[in-house]
Amino acid sequence: MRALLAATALCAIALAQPAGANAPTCDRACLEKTLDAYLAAMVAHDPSAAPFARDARFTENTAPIALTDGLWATATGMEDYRITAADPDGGQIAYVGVAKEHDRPVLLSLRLRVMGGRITEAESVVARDVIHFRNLRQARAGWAADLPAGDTTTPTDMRAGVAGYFDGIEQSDSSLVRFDPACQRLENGLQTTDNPNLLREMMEREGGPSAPSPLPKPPAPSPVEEKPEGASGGGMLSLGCAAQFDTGAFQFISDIAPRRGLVIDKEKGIAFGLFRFNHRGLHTSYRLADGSEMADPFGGQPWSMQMAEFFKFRDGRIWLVEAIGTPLPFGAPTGWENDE
Amino acid sequence: MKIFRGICGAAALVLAMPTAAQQQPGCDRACLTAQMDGFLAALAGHRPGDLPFAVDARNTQNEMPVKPGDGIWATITGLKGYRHVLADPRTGEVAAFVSIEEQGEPALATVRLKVSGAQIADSEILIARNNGFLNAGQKQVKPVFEAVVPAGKRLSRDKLIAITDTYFEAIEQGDGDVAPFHPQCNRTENGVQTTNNAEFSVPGADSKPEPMGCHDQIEAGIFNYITEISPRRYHIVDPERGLVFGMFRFRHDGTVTEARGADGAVRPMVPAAKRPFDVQVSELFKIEDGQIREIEAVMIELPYRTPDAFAGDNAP
Repeated sequence: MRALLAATALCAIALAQPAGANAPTCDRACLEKTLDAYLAAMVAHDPSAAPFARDARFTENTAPIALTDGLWATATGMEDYRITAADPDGGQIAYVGVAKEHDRPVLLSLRLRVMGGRITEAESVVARDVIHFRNLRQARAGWAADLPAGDTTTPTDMRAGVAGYFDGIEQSDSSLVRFDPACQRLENGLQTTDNPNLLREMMEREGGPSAPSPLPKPPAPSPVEEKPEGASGGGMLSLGCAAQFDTGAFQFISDIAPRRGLVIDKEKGIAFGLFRFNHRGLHTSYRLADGSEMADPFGGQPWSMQMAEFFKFRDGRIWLVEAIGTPLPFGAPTGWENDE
Repeated sequence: MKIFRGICGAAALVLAMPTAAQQQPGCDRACLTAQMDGFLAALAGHRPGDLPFAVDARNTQNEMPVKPGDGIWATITGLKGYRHVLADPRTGEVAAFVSIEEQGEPALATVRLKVSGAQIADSEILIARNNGFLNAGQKQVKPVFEAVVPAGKRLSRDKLIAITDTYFEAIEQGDGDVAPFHPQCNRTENGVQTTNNAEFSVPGADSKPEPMGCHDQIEAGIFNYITEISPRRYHIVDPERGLVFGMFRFRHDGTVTEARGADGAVRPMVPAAKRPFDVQVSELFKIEDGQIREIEAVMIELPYRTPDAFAGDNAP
C-alpha cells in the first residue's frame, strides 16, 4: 500500500497541473491554522508535527536546509508579535513575528505555500541583528483589520503600489508611488520615517554591544554618518515615506531585484513580497537633491540584503510598511531561482 | 543518462579539441605566479577583459557567483603591500593572500585561480572587509612559510593533506590531541594573530583567562560551537615547502550553549556563537617535521549552510 501511495504521489507530481488536483483548498482560517502548526512544530523541533508535503522546499536566509536545522534547531519559543497576509486563492500565507533563539529574540518572516492541505514551500528570513524590540511587542493598529467598507483598494492598486515603491527607491522619485500622507515604515523594528531619534536608537543595542568574539561579521547596517542639518542629516530622518524618496538619500541602493514571492491579501489590503536590495558600492558619496553630499552609509562595499516586506494600503495608497531584512554577500542567489 | 552522456561526451570532445591543442606541457610555479600577478593587475585596473577566462569559468566573490567586472572588480582602489602566493603546478592552481584597498578602505583578500590550458577555469575571491575583526597591515610573509624543507625530510602530497585534515578533526572533536601540533604553532586569522595573544585570552584550566596556543585552545573547548567543517577542499600542496592550502567551510548549527574543556570545566558559550551561521575559511598550513607549525587564514561569514560554489572539488 505504501509503495502504491508513493508511486501515486510520484505520478501526481509528474502530472499535476498547477491548478489541477492540487489546487489550493485552504481558506484563510486553514492557512492561519497551518501557520500556527508550523510555528509550534518549529519550537518543538519536530517537523512531523506540521503538515509538510513529502518534497516540501525550505530555505532560511536563502540557504536550502533541513527542517531540523537553522531556527528549527535553535528556537525556544514564540512571542506575541504577529502580522499575517493570506491569499487563499494562491494558497499562500505570509507572516512576521518574533521567535526566541536560545531565549534571545529574533525577527522571523515566513512565506508558506499550502497545496492540498500540505505545506509545499516554506521560505524564511530570520533577522538576528535587531537593535531593539520596543516596536515589536504588538503590531501597529491597522495590520490585523480588514479593509473598512468603502475602502477603494484593489489588488491592482497593491501590485502597482509595490512595483512603484521599489522603482521609486531606485529612481529617488516618490511620484512613481501613491503614498498615504500618514505613511510610516518599520525596518527590523526601527521606525525609519518621521523619527528624529533614529540615529540615537541605532546606538542603543538592547543588552549592550554584542560580546567580543573573533568571528568576522557580515556587512550590517551601521549608523548613517550624516550631517545634523539638511536633507542628508537628521532632517531626512524626520521626513515621511514620500519626502525621503525625493531627497536622494537612497542612492546607495543600486537596484532592487529580484522582486518576488508576492502574497496579496485582498480582504486586509496587505501586499507581501521578497525583495533583494543590491548595493554595488560604486560610489562613496552621493549628491542629494538639495545639492549636499551624503556618504554611502556602508562605505562603498558591495553587499546585498534580503528583505521581506509587508505593505498595508488605504484607499489604494501605501499606508504602513514593515520590512524585515538580513544582510547577504553581494550576488547571493535567492534559493528560489527556478521558481517564478 | 548513459546515452545523454555519450552525446554530450562526443560534443565535449569536439569542442575540447582546440583547448587540448593549446594545452601547455604545464604551467610551472613561475608561470602560475605570473598568472596570479596578471590577474591581480587586471583586478586592480578594473580590466577583466585583459584576462583569458574560459567560456564556462566559475567566478565567485565571497562564495557567490559574481561576474568579473562586478563586485570587488568595480570597487577595488588599489593593491597594498602584502602578497603571499602559493602555487601547485600539479593541480594548475595558484592562490594568494593579498592586502587591498576598496574605496579607500583596507581589506584582505584571498584569490584562488585554477588555470587550465592557458585559460582561467576558476576564480574564487574572498574579501574580508573591516567589519570589526581585521588587520590588513601585514607587510611580510612569515619566513617560516617560505623555508624549504630539506629533500630528505619532504613528505608526500597525501601525507601532507592527511596531517592537515587532522586539524579539522581535532576542532570537530574538541580534542587537541587528535592533531600533531608543533609546540610553537601559531595562527593568523584576517591578519590578526589569534593564538598566544592576550587579546584573545580564554579561560584556562584554573578559569583564569590566559593566552593559549593552537593545541590548548582546542582543549579548552572554545571551538565547541563549530559543529562541522565540510566541505574541505584541498587545492594546493607544496611538498618542497611543506605547505597545504585549501578552502574550508566551518558550519555552526547554533545549538551549542556551553564550552566544555578537556579538563571538565564548563563555560557558557558566547552569545554571538549561539546562532546558525557559516564561515568560509581560506587556510594555509605549514607542516614541519610532521607537525602543524603555522597557520594563515582569511575568512568571511556566510548565511548558514550556503551551498558550496565548487561542490565536490578537491576532496581529500
